[in-house]
Amino acid sequence: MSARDRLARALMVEGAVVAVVFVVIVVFFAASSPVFLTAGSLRDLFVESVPIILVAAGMTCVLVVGGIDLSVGSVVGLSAATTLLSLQNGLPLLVGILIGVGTGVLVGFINGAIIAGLQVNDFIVTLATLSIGAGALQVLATNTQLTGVEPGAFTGLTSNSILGIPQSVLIAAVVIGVLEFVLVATSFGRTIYAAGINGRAAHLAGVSVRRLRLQVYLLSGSVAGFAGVLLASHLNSVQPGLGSGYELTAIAAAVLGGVSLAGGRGSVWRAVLGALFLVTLSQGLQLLGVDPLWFAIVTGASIVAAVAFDRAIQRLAGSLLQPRKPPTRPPADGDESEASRAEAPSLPTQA
Amino acid sequence: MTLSGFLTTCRNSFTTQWEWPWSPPRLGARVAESAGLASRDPTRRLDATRLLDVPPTAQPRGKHVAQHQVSVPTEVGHTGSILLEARGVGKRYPGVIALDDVSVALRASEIHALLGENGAGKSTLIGILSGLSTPDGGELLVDGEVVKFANAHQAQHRGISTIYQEQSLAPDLTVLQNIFLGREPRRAFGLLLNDGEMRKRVAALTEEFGLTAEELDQPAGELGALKQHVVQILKALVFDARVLILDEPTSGLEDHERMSLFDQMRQLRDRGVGILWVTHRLDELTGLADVITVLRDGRHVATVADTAAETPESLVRLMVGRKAHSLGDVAGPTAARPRWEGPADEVVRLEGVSRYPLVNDINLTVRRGEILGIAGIAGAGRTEVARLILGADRLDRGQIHINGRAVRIRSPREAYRLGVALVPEERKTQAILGDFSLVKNISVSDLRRVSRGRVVIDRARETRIAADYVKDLGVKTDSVRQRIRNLSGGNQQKVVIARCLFTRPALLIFDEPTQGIDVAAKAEVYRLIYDFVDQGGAAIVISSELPELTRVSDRIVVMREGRISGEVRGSSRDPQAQDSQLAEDIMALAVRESAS
Repeated sequence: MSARDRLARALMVEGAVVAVVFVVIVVFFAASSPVFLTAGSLRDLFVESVPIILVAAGMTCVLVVGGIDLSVGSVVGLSAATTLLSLQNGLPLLVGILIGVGTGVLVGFINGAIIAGLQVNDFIVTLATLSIGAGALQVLATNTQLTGVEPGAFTGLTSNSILGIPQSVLIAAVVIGVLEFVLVATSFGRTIYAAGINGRAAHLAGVSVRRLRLQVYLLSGSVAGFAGVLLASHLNSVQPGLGSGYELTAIAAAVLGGVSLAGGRGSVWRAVLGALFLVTLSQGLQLLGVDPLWFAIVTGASIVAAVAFDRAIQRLAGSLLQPRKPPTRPPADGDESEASRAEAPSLPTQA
Repeated sequence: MTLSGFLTTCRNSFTTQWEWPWSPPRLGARVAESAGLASRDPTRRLDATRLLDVPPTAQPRGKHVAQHQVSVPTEVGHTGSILLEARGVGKRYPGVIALDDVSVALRASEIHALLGENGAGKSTLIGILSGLSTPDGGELLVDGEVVKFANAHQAQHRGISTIYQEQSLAPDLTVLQNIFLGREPRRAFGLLLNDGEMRKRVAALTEEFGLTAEELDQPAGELGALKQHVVQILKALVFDARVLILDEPTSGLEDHERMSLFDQMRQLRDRGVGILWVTHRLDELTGLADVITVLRDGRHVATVADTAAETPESLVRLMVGRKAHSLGDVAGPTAARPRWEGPADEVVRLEGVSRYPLVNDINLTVRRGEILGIAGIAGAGRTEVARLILGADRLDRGQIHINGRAVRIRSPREAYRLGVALVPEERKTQAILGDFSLVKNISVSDLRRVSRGRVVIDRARETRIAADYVKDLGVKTDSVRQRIRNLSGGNQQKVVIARCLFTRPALLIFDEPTQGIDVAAKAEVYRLIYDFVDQGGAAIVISSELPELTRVSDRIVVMREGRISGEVRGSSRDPQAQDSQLAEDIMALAVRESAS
């Protein structure tokens, strides 16, 4: 194998490009700001990114099956509120956490039951539950004082460290590891990909696609609920509007990591890398003293740039891999020629 | 379009004829022509009725003719002038030579069949002829004049229309709107569509091709496959096509529909149209093709003018080039099979199974070691019966028994657990998981078999077992980790069969198992079916190809309008049976009241 081939194959490894882009911005911020790589600032970075990383990981499961879950934005806020409310009213820590996660499970079940059971469009259903959840949070946060609990075990979830790493970061890492394992190594995960690649074929091949869709929304809702619990422990207060916008950031993160919105392609760890990229960007800009008013513009532009860069690299790698030896065999034709068609210049369909 | 491509386009359009190839189709030269403004060439006037009285006898023109009057292998004893000619065209894609120095000439009033196995280069050749792709070498001549097509539009301007396997009509537009799509005659300074003008122009043609006035106003998607083909032909004729390229027009058509399509092809020939016709089905050629050209591995093998002297066997020999496959061999040895000798237990029994209105009171049984064929025209309910057995649809009434036990099958997953598996009819959309490797495609229906504690997949075991199936079934691939969509159709089909076998089924249902795969792959698919039943499996085969069905099946039930209209014995059990007689019997049962 020539060096050229090896380079091409390295570039083709899924996630290689987003990893490179991530390292580039880390190096850039480290060079431009002396405090960026200090322990305190890194700690902040990871603690800040915990909720969005979790939401992006859950979202990935939904995207891979070919669906979308917009409700996670309000699930994060709502779960944070229900947890804090329970704890303020003196319920034990574990019960409070379960109530927070349960909120997410409930919303996920509603999503999944309507989408899989009644076959309603997933975008519409989760857009509706997003709105309902945001409204519920508004009511809850206005009518009760969600000003937090005494510092203790709950706030300690974020502030306490094990071996110098905040607990919440460790917990998030475990959750992500489990999700990645489920998606890659279990039969459940395998069928998620199968249903995303071709739902109809998977159904006829004996995959219970409808049940799978329900399960995936449950998964996404519960992970988002857990993200809300950890966010509450970090902030120790809940305002109306908490978590809004997380759904779109999570989708952007997943796409940055190479998850296909059409389903069937993507992985949890790459979506997590995409989320880390976005959080690092905003933290770095803060350190550089950029006016926060500009953050959204810079973030949007960098998402487009990163994705475009990724596609360009993929195409470059593809062209490096093209054989330069004289060919020997004609391609399959007729309806079988997907391979040759993919290589052929894009042909217009019959005008 | 690149700059150089653009310049080529300009040059061509000025040297050949005055038209604006870069104008958007909707408002471009077509519309101007439709209004009778731009076309200077009287033979290309957009007047459909002209075509009826003036058979195009366009003489070769231009100075290129003289210097290229050399004998090419396609010079055969026909009198029509050459409309379209490819001389020594070649095309390579990265990694493959798809077409190598191929010459073909299509004459007026000629039906010219183009044969070849999958991968022989047929699609590439028609792509070049229809302007979809440009050849790397050689040249194209229209009416003896060298042309270069930058896109399909330019080919259409020169009277070359192509009708593809996939229907390319807009399903929600009416037939009339489809025919004139993008080229509508206008009135009121081009602001309004001229509906009356459209109707006037198609009137003569619709009558001739058996389309009613009501059908003109129906959405195209509501028509049957045959009528949709007719609409595409009309679309080409209204705009003065002199060359029609038909890419497997009969795939997806039932036998009686094919016959009327053939009649229409003859009509087209009689009015001077040259037809280039790609087909997989050799039995169709007899009495229809005037000239047959055979491609193999991207090269021109033969052009046969005396089509009466050819038999399906001799053509297969030309296409395959290896030892002679006779069609009988393809369907398989009937005597030499090591038949299942064990107990002929009943594997599946349907009692009064109904799903209204498509399936009505179906009773049938299949035993171990037996192949049951299901015949019928499209819409007779064959696929629906398969879906009911698989649990993909719910029964309205009736009972299914599997291995003698009454069962309720609520999903395909349950069906697989009970030992039922399906090879679906549309491979691309219903069977393969394109991005998955061969291994993952094979194991997906029974992941438990390769999972530890039913949860975690044992990848090594999965790959090993899948690789065994790949080897046993003779799937041609360099690696079992290859994505399935990179395989040819025949190999994809074998992987789908491997997926079914992987679940160790008792009953295997094949829905159109050889659709769109080449002759050699068909033979292997038949062999897999035989192997399965000869080891004690039970199979149901649904097929629209009667020769295939009669050869493969032990028994054939015929369905009509959701009911079983009769049963015949297949020729695999009955050596005396005449396939053609059987086919006639089946057709009689399938289309009209039982003959007996």
